[in-house]
Amino acid sequence: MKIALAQVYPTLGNLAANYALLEKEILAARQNGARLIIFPELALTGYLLKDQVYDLLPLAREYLAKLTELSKGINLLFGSIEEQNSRAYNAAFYLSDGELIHTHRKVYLPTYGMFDEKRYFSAGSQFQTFASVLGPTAILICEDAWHFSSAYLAASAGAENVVIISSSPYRAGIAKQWQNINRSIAENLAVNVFYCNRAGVEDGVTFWGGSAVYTNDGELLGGAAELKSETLFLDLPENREARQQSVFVRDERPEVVLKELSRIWQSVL
Amino acid sequence: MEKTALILTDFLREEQGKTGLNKAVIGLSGGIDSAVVCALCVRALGAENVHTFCLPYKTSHPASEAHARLCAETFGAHYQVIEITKQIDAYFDAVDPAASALRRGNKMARERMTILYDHSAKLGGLVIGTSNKTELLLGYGTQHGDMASALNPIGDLYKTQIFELAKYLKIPEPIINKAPSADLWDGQSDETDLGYTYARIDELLAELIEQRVSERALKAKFEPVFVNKIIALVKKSQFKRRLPLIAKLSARTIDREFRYPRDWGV
Repeated sequence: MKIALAQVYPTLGNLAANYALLEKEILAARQNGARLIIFPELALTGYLLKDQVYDLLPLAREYLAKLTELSKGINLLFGSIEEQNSRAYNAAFYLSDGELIHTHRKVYLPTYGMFDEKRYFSAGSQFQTFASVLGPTAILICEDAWHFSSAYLAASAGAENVVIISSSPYRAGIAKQWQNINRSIAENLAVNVFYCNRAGVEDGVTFWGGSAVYTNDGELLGGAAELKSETLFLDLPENREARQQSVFVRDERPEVVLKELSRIWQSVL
Repeated sequence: MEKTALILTDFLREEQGKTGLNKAVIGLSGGIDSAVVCALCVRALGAENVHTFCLPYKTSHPASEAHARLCAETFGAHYQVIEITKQIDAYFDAVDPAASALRRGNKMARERMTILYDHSAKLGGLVIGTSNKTELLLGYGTQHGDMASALNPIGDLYKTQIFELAKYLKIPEPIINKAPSADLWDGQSDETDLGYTYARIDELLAELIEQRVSERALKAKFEPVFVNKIIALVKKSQFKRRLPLIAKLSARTIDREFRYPRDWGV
């Protein structure tokens, strides 16, 4: 199955321009025979929105409807802002053939160093698995993946594919950290990892790109360039062997984790 | 350094591009920082879009202008010399002939700033900053003078890293090899002014700023007098790195609650 990772450079706060950018990529991916195209975190809006989050929520809803229309004949995963019960979320949407199938709301909102997400967003609280064209799938948004428990929960719920979308800013050493995270999720949990980061510059911050796919044996299937826009097309092989041989898949005991975590948490309190 | 150069040229091209202005305006001192900025701007925008200015005072070292010229010629940037002696002397002769060297130096830095901003308006460009991380942290610069700019590509690089980047960018050797100086008065040297070499200062700053090593631990490793002096400089100059304080009255004070990105709507 052919898939596309669109490492795009959205324009900060310009949803019309970003919709046009996504539309172009979606049409090209469909023409290229891709069954699924993945876009980065906040691809429709740009990342360093600050107070624009509130200003742009209604527009983001309109463009979600337009993108749902565009998903006819293809599967589409992208990041945007979402208003739910008067709260703002940093969200990811999976759309399939004209339907919204799944929404993931970022659980871990980084609010340290250069990040200030809790100031603008409410946190999601679930890692749900849903049926995508890839099979059982879960979505993580950027910081979610830095907590190993997120991928663990997704894999425990049966996810065989973990899509990680990010707007990861460049700073020294960041590429290696992400490569380690993505590879270890793929290898330890025997899941395919689809990492889609963005490119471009906002307010002096450079997003480093480096989107990549790791198969469920922990091997790198392919990667995009660093520091520039690129759309990566890959043919995803089927690898049942890695899952059959995975000790996680075969022997993991979530009931022990649950019992022990509950005991540990009680003793911490 | 290849990655650093790539990120900095992208930064210049992208952030400049968003403003709709395509020219860079740079004050060339003849030193390594402005030479590095000139080389980066030429890579990012093309030599035809880079306008450099050497703005000497009568006591400026003749080598400074020669090195500024050498830099502009090496990278093919536009180059113009505008003397600032007349207006500086007119001011101090009229207002305070006894003014200190520091006041005169600050006045010169601010005079250069107004000339660069005037040319940015004339040419349709942005003033590109040339302050490095070491001097920004130490406050070794003039507020609203050499510290003023629209974009600064080198403000997150310590002086010692500037030397590495300069070699990578093939800045002419005489510019790399001379002793760093603000050249505000004859024979001035950064390292004499500061009392320590950049190598030592950067070693300390890297631990203090990047690793957040405690003052106590730093004093076990470096001379306590040195640690005290550098920490005092960093704290004392904090105001230079910030916008003016706004007295809070409303519910949505600028920059406290009213927060938009700089790239808002561009």
